[in-house]
Amino acid sequence: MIRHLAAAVSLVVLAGCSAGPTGDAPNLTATLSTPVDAELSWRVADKAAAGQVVEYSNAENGPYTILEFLPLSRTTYKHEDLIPQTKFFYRVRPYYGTASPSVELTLPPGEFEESKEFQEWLLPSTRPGPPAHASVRDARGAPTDFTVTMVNPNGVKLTWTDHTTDEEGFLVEIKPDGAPGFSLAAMVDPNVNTYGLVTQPTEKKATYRVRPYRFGEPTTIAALTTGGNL
Amino acid sequence: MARKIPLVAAVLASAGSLALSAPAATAQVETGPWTSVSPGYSVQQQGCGTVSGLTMSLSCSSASGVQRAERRYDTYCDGVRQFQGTFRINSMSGNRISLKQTFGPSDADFMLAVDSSRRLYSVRNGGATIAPAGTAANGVSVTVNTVHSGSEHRIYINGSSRLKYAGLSGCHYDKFGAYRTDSGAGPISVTWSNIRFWRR
Repeated sequence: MIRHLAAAVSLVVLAGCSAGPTGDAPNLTATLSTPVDAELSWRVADKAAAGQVVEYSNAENGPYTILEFLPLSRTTYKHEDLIPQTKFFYRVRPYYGTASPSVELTLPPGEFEESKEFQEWLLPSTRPGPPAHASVRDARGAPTDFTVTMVNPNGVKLTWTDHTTDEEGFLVEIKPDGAPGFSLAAMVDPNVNTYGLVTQPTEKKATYRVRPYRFGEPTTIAALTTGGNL
Repeated sequence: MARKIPLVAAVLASAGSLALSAPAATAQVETGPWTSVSPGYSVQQQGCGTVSGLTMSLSCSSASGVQRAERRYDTYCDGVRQFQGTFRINSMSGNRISLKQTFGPSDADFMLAVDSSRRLYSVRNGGATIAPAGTAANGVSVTVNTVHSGSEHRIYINGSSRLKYAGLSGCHYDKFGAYRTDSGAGPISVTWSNIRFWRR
């Protein structure tokens, strides 16, 4: 058990870290900067990963919920306005996978209209394709033949060829025009290679890509108990 | 694999069991002691709503009538009650769909809904934002905790406090799934998991 006291706060700070499955030294710490604001700090274990996710749970054994996808350059995270008087457990997991080439598409003007009928193009599906042959950790597993086509002024259909045998799913990533980088648009089940996406008004001009993903080993788990009033 | 789901009119299938005490659990939020409970429920399918296990779908875009695919849990009239569940939207081209309600005594005292920007909001608080646009993107899991104490509702999303307000006193019940709000319309498909209830 390691206990950290945030410098600016002399209130309740209960932060704990448990060793990993192999008894590794803790590589994630969680401290309270206020009774209901947590600050996480960790070391990136594998710089070959594509990115990482910060996850929380109210039980050490989970289930854990992803709070955010982050680039490997990030080693801190603030989880704010936490539920008072509650145990929190955190972990960070790397994820692996090589993205497809990106495709840019500009949609014509048009406000969002609620659909007039059931829209089959939105449903994820698997078209026949060549046998998958690569691991997610192999760059040859990057999806090919990635296409983005307009379905309507606020909807696009994505298709790709899946080459990975062990993906946990696919990440659909989008970079609206002017955005500094890609962000997550959707998480898709494994083996899917056709997907429909309703776009947002800020995504009239955007760049898309798709990435198979598989999570790696998590950091040690860091725990804390919030203070504050209900 | 895509197929149109037939309309199912007002099907109420009893699928629950009576409340049972369970061993103390460890995932609950706020100060206890909490006791895990397992209220019974019925499945509510109306209009174009269908329920398959914990996947609830509205297959139509009708902006009128009752379009519902929900689990309606047993009514409670005492104690402090906590609900926990995680949802994931599979697909959605509709707008303003209720995902979780704390209903009572005669209307939805709390109604968590999602709009087309994937913002979560409270229908009963002037549409107050509970979590910003993009929170409920397709395939992304979102964990919801609600605590109902007397007439007070405390709403938590992904571990953070998002809304607290005074509702109505009296008997209530929890329900979750997909339900077209007065200004909303489907389609939507949403899958819930890790449903837990506690009382103290």
